[in-house]
Amino acid sequence: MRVAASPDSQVRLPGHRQMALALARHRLAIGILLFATFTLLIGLRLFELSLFDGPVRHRGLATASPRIRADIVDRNGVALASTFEAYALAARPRDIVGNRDELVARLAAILPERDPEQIRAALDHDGPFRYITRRILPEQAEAIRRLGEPGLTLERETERLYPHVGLAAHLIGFTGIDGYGEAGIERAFEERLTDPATRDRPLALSIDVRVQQALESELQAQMDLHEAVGAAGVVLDVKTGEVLGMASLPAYDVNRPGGLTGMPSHMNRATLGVYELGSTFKAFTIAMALESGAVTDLGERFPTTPVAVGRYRITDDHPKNYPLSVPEVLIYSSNVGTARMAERMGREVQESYLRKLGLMDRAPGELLESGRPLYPADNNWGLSAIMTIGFGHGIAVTPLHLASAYATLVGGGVRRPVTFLKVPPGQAPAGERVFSERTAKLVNGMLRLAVLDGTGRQADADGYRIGGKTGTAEKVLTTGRGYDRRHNITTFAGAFPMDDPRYVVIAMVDDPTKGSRMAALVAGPAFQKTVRRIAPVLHVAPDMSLGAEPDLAPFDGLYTPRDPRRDPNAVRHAAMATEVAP
Amino acid sequence: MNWLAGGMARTPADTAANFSATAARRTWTATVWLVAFTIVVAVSGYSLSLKVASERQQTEQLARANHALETDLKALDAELRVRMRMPQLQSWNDRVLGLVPISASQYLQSPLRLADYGRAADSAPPLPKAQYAVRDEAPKRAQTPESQPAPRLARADAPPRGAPRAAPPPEAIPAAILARATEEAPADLLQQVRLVLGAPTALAP
Repeated sequence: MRVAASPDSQVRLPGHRQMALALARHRLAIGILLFATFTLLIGLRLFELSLFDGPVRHRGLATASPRIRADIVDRNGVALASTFEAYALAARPRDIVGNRDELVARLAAILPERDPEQIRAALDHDGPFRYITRRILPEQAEAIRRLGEPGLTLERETERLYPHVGLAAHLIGFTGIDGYGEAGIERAFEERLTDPATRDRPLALSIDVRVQQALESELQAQMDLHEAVGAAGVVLDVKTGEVLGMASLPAYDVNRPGGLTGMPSHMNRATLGVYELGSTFKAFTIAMALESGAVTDLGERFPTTPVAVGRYRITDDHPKNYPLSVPEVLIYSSNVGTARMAERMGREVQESYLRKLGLMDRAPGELLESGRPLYPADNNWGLSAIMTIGFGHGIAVTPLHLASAYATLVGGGVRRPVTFLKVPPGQAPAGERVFSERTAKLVNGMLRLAVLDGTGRQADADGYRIGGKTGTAEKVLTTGRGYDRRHNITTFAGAFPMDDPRYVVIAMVDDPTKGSRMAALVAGPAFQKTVRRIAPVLHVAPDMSLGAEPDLAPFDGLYTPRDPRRDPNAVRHAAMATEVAP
Repeated sequence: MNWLAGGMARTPADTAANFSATAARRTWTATVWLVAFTIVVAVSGYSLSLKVASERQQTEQLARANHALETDLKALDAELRVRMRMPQLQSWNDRVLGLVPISASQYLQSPLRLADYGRAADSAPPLPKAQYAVRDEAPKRAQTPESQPAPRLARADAPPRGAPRAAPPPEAIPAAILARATEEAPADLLQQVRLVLGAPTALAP
């Protein structure tokens, strides 16, 4: 075109003109081609946009808050935490145009839970912006919008609702005013719950709300009965390591956590609080002694005369005044007997097994509120420490530590990692072996005998073949030196059904002040009532027949049955006597 | 205008003019076709676009309605869950229902044991219990031992004198319940037998 529009003064030859015309045509054709291509592309894109743009996207909550979180559900899909649309109401005092008194009255009518004085304070604030309230419902937000006051601002945000209020409060945790998890699962799984790629799917926990409710209510009842300071409990699946229930009392309303996270009610006693759990450790000591070869004969007798070691004097709470066999040491909860076993094992064996059981690491599980156990320092782990640890003193662990270690003991000696997340069927971890199957089987039998004939009778529930051990420990003085005889930690650690242990239950009541202060009468009944309630839920049917009892033949003749009609060994002897008589 | 003035004689100039006219006609036709095509495409495209926009609008409305319904459902679900939360159910049970955990003795080994559930092992079988009522309420004639000849039934067309007209012939009673029981029947069972067998007749004691 430039050639065709060139000035006339330029001299051109005929051939030159033809060439210029051809060049112009070529350029014109290229231009047209480019224009057509561009137009075609635009048309195709429009066609694609109009027909193949996919469905309209309206997923999730259309809120301005970036803290949209995934729901949390229990192992059966019951909602434990949900997210809802909510609004935050703020005031811009300088932009308010109406009568402030009238505005305060109207807002107070719409928001009856807010103090009118606080509303007025926000409206009269000197600054440019101030929140009046957070997390108000959409209906209230709509009513406020209809007031037409330009000085009020409504911001969309999300609200976290916990339908079960205080149930499993310490486990689930809560979110802060800005939507960040501040405790429990909400805090431990912050990324998983808020990641846009995963927040559409609920987070399934391992707990069962029915088990959780039974555990909490029975512990609460026992706590009220004995006017205790607190309580904690754990229900653990031996085969998978899943926590089916975990209670820490007193609890709080996670919908309105309030206060500071350091308050006593906010402390998770099951995973963060460490306690000397007393005689419940005797089962470990006996298992260690059997496994290490320190004790080879179940019939070996251990004297029960008091032992003086260092500044301690070890005595039995239920003295029998005669040497006890190995099963009797556990049945009658002999401090002296287990101390002598521990002495024979030595520190190295004791420490290695405590470490293998996870009793020297932080509390297991995914929660960030995990307590570190207290145990003697290397230079202070002498004979007295060895002997006192043998019966559960001088070492402080969380109830979750204890549950995990008992699951290892009764579950064939294999330790599986504890988890608060649901384990899909068939995907349970293999675990690590700590004790041999033979040792685990022997200790299972002794734990059953401790319930049938020993200190754990109050924990027995007909037909559920419970095995376990009581533990009554004195609390450490606030000065840190010595024990307070007036304040106890009462614990019952056990499992059921003992013929094939599947569930471990820990019941701990902290400092009962009314009535008995012994574990057998405080924690034992809580354990029994809990098992009676959760066993049907967990599909464990009772069986009153003696054939369902675990194998107690290895202990025949090594103990005196309390009730010969219920003792399998005594019943077998009676049957043999009947056959021989004719 | 040469061809009007000069008859049929064609000069080169005429030919050139004809050629030019033909070319102009072709150009005009092509332009018409181009304009028509453009109009058709534009109208078709626009109507298609309108149609698609309308569909999209409806889809968006549906999606918005779905989202609103989802929100409502979630809110209702949450409200239900809050109302039926476990601590609340426990509270109702403690205050009103008073349900307790099932005991070991309530479990049965098989469904067949359900028929025996609640009955003591040494209790009498059910049949004699039914006989108690028969002893008290059955017609006397039914209690006649089989060894004795049964009395002739009165004919309906010729009733004997003094015989009550309302006395119907006794129905066949199973032999199992003809035996007299030795114990009194419970009051509720007696009432049930009265309802089944009817009120005592004149033949009854």
